[in-house]
Amino acid sequence: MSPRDLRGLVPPEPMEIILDAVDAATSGQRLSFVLPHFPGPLLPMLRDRMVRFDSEMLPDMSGVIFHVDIP
Amino acid sequence: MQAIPSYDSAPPLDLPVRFFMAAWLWLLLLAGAWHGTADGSYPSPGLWLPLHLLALGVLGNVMLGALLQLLAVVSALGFPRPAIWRYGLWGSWQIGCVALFSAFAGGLDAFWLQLASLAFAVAGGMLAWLWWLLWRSPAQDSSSRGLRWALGFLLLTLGLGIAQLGVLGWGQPWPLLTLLPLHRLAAQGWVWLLLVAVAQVILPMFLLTPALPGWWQRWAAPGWGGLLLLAGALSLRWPDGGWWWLAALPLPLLALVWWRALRQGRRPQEWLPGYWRLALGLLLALCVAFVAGQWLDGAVLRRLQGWLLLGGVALTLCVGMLYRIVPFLLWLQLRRGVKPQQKVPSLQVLLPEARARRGWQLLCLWQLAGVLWCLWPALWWLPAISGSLLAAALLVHYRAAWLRWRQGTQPVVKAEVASG
Repeated sequence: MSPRDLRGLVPPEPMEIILDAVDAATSGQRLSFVLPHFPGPLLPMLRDRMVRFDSEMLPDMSGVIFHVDIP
Repeated sequence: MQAIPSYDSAPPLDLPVRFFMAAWLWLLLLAGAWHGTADGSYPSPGLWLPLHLLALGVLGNVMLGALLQLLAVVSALGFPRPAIWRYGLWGSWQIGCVALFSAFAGGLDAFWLQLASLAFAVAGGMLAWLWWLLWRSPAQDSSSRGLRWALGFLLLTLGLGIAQLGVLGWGQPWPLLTLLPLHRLAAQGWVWLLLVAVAQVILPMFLLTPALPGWWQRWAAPGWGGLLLLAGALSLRWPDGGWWWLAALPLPLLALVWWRALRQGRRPQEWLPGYWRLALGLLLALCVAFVAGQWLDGAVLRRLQGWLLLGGVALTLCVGMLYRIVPFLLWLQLRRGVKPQQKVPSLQVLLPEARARRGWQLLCLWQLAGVLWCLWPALWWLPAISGSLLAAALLVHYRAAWLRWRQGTQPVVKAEVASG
């Protein structure tokens, strides 16, 4: 599934979308989002939810792909 | 080593917010300080009072609050004992402001000048500690490097200001007329370099612009800082050389970089770019005023330069950024406290967009009033009235946001108590 592009949204809209998606996801699911930059403020809230995450830079450097793995 | 922005070490909400609220209170009190400027004399204690109220009381508080938040988030500086900063820095800064403004209002009374020098020395000591912590931080991103420069110039500004208080309040035989222009130059460095560092974070994050050019991120702070130091050094060696233009040299470049970034913003219809466009217009006007200042000399032009920098670009960006950042911090605090599936009020509910737009309109009125005052100082009541309207609106808007924030936390507490 292609990652959901959240680059046109102003904070905290992308954070709300990601947190809602994480809360609604099922075990073993991998969620991916395209963001304009690394989502620093989101990390403590993801850690609280015990999910794993990683990121990679887009090839044209215009943003990052942020992956969340639901345990 | 590249530091990852960390909100884990962010200071408690009340630490930056108390600086912001103090700023708007000082903006309200500023209304009572303009009448001393009616005679148009420059420089004069009558002018120093509103100038320092604006620079230290209003902008100083906003910038210190923003600095603490930014140092934690961008440069990963921890504030494990926030009470030290709450009472040490915030407290000493407010005492210093009260004492200095009382001194200017009361004919340079020695007691107030001495108290101001002691209070600002305490604040300076704490900021020097912060600077040392920042130097030790592994963060090497461009914003952190810019913040090191900005904080360095704040320390220089404070040091030179305290030295002047030493002359006026303690009778020290130091050359006041040498210290005064250097103090002014260092203050420009603090304001510009902080704005440069903050814009590198704010523009891509909240205005959805592309990252600012790499050469700008790398060289803006050291280049501009170097020019400021060079201007100061040359002025010490050749006092009549008029080297101040060196410090204004990067201004058109700054305007160009910000303008290009704003043009590529993904949400131009939002309210926040309006603040940046206003600031950009004022920045261009400031460039013109600096160029004109090379050939023309006069109190009007000097007042205009000071106004466009402090009341213009700096205050516009401070007001605009806080309308975005404060509700974001409130939202973040609420979001962290709730359990999954619980909804928190949106930014729009915490601080509706209409209020930010109203703030912008009042800010435009303030700019018009300020320019008219620069031209005709007898119209001092114009910035007094428009400033108090702006301050009252800001205080009402933030109080409403705070009340809404308190409502948002209550159901969670009740639920936890019930389940416990």
